[in-house]
Amino acid sequence: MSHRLGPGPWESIDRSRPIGFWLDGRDVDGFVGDTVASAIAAAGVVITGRSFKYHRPRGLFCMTGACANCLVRIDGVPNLRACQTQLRDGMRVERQNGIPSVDFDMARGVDRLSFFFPAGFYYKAFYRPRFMWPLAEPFIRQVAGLGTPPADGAGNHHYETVNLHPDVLVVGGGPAGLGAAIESARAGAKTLLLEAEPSLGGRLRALGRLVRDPEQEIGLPGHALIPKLEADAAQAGVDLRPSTTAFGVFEYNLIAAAGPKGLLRIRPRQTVIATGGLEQPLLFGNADLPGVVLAGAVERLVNLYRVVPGMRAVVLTGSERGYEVARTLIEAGAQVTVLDWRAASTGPEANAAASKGAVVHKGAMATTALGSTRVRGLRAQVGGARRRFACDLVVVAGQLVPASGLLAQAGAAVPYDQSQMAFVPSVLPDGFRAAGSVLGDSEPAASLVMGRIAGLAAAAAAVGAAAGGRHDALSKLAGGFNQAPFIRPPEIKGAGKTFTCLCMDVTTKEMEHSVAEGFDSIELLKRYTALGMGPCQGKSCLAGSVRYAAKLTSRTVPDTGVPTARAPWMPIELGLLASEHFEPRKESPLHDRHADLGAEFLWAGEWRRPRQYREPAEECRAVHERVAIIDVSSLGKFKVKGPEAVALLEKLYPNRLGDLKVGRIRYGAMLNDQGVILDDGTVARLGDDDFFVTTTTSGAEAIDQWIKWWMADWRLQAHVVNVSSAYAAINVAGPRSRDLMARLTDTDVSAAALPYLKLVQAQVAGVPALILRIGFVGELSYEVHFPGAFAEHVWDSMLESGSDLGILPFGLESQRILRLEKQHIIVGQDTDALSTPYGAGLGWMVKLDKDDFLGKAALVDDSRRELQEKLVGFAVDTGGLPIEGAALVVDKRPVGRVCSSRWSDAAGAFIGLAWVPTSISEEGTALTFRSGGTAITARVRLKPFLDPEGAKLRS
Amino acid sequence: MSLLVPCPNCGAREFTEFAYGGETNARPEPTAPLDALTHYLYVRRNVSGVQQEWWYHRDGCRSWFLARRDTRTNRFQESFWPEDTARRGR
Repeated sequence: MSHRLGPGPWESIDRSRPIGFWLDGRDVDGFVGDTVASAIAAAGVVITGRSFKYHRPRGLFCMTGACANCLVRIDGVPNLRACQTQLRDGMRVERQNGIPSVDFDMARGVDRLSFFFPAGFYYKAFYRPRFMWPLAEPFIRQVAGLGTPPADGAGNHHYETVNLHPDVLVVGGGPAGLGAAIESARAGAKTLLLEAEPSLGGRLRALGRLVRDPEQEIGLPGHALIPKLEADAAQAGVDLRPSTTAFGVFEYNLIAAAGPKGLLRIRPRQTVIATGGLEQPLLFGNADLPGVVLAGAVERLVNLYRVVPGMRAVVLTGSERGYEVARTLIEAGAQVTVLDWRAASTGPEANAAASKGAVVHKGAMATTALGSTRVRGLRAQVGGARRRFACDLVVVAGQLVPASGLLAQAGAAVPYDQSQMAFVPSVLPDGFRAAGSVLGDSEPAASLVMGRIAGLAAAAAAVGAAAGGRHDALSKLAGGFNQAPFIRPPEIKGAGKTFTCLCMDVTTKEMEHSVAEGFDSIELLKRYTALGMGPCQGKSCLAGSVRYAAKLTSRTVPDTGVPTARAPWMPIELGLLASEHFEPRKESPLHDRHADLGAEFLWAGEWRRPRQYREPAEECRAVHERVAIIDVSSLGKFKVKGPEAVALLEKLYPNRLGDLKVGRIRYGAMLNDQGVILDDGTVARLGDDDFFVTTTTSGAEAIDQWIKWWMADWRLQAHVVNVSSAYAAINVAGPRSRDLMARLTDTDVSAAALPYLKLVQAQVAGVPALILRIGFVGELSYEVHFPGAFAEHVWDSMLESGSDLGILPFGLESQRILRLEKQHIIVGQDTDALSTPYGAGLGWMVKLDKDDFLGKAALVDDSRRELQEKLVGFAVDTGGLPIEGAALVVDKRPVGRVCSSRWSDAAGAFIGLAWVPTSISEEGTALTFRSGGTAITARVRLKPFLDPEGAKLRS
Repeated sequence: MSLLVPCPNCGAREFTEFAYGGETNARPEPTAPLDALTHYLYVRRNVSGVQQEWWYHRDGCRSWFLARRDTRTNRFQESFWPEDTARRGR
């Protein structure tokens, strides 16, 4: 069944290209150029969804994207505005919130139980008696709400974030916005225009009236003017973005917009807001019935999509606009009755409508719409008498109020204007201009001129373009327009529910209850009733709600005020806000080698590091018995040089470093001023004022920042250069590592020439390198640092010349087992934000007799107090492996925790490190851990499990 | 939060590129009484108005600098290198 009229002069549909889509599983036809909403209307479907709370039927209402009546699920994505979505072939459209369907909704009965859901019911209903809530909650959750989220979480959409920096940003593609963009771009400013709807033109699109543009010889109908303005804008170089919705203004004039591909973050120099006006509904009983629509929706349906939403229409109005719509409907073949709430009215449109056959009643106002699933009639007061009209369409041609949300977010003052009876932006913040109906209902021709002036001014401010004579000429034109004052409709109480907020199903009665309960300020009313908190954010309800609130509280409208404007001003998909998030990912210069060797990778901070190449036990055996290598290129590496390098390091470390001999290495930890361990590593002295400092992998960036901060303050004569990514590093470990090193370098690597904690600079595999006799894993080992470009060559040379020694690469998992056998701590794993060197067993490095170092004052204080907790080793007796984080339990109370735990073949036990109270930290003390519901018994072991005297390490 | 932070090297950049170092806070001598240490470590002035604070351009020139910002409006008045001002402590 087609409800389309014959071809119209400016229809947007292409009748030569029919397409099909699915509506709740039913095959429905439409045309290219349709929106989902217009295609639904053309199919004769009146109900577009069920309401949020009462499951009342709702239909198309504004057709401009301002209300939430047409939210549907499209291809699995819920809550999309049907009127703002272009129809595509094969689309799957589902109407929302019907149980089981929107046409036959069993939850409709909720409407009659509304006394159960008074204002703020979620604060007070079903809480007493207590057994009620568990019964009521699932029902409320099932019934309330709109769409359901996609089953697979994010859906199949891919969102991206784009940053844009235009000179001038124009928000809104109606007459004012187009005018502004054209002038701004012509004046030489890089101009970006955002239009929320799929097509440009705004109000002009469905307007048949003649609009006089100063650029054109003659006045043109609105729709005929759009292609001309669009061509001018494109020619001037405006970046035109339809289907792109600006939804928020943030600090420093960041404007966020939702585009077809994702989020736009826009930092313009100047912004012109031309978001136009919002048609407001009228408050009368059952005004939410399908078939009660705004005038703009009728104009669009008839003129753009050639669909007549009803054949017997009643138009409610107090201005010329109602008669304009009446004429449109009459020309489309409908019978029209006009109820004009003014006692007397004349004007060209009124006369034209009457001459075409409209029945006009003056001093008339609707009280209640009649019907169950769509409007069937209307009760009204006509000149003091009650009248009833049979109709299938009620058109509301009321007030157009400024769409000032973005301006208010930007910080504009939005005071109440008595003549327009609306809140109108007045004082605009720096960097913002406005034009068109956002400053009060204005004629399209006036908007166009205002827009051109604002665009010129914005370009002048943004890029210093000269406005000059053109500005003067336009300003003269602007003087010729007048705004008609708004005449308010009378308030008459009708029967049935009178909704002030359609999104959240808030009625006048609920507002009355709220005020009676003391929630009488507009902000409290909003929070208590959820008024204006729905998807439309008050765009289609605020004016009426504020007026009603003023009446209830006996205040004036300006005293009542409007709630704070917040983002998002337009409904957006949540996926957009969660759009692409970039995390740095670092790879060692040996990454490909690891991959070739079949390494399994893990995240270590920002790094991808090999977890293991084969069974960790096998890797550990190679370290203990033969020789093995591990890529430690990710370590932080710093060169510290200068006459005050020693002074700097003495301040950064609690250790004494001034007496470190050239060619020697010392282990140290950096502390903050609370005495808490930040990071650990080694300090190697290459010369009198030349040091090479290493930090942990994950601490490298933070320590870089930390050292620079203190450098900025102390201003010592020293340079710190972060060479972390310039150098690769490989640790060679195991009893045969000396044999391997001897094959790769000419320098003497014997125990006598290069003992533990000594360094030498020499060539390794022909590459200049720094060889440090240090190791983390407890066996004889060498840490070789060299320019990263040679990483693969050195790695290959080691594996090749060590093949007869049984060399293996080893990964982080083996390293963690090996270091646990030696009870070497990992900062961040075994320490936290309260760990001082004393508790962590590093008290030996703290030299309190030094003049000053970071953390000294705190540690001096600590050293006078009894230590509460200690980090100790343990070996499990019974119960298996305690998880990392398992609680240490004494008398059923948690008193400590496991930080690290692993199975060690070498120790023949589950071993680990744990923080325990000092009172139970003696060697051999029995510990009980609670891990995943089971009890594990263990004993304190204060000495390393392997080579406790460090003979192997020093060999 | 969408501040633009004025780096003396790189100009105004998105605040997500920066690390915030907090209000300047003079470090007491190590011999100072415990009160002074506690104050330095745990007590902040929390100025409602213009305060001097540390910023680090982490994803840019990797330099620390000082800035004066009005905490009520988040507007920066100026930014400068630590050596360009009389030392006011951290």
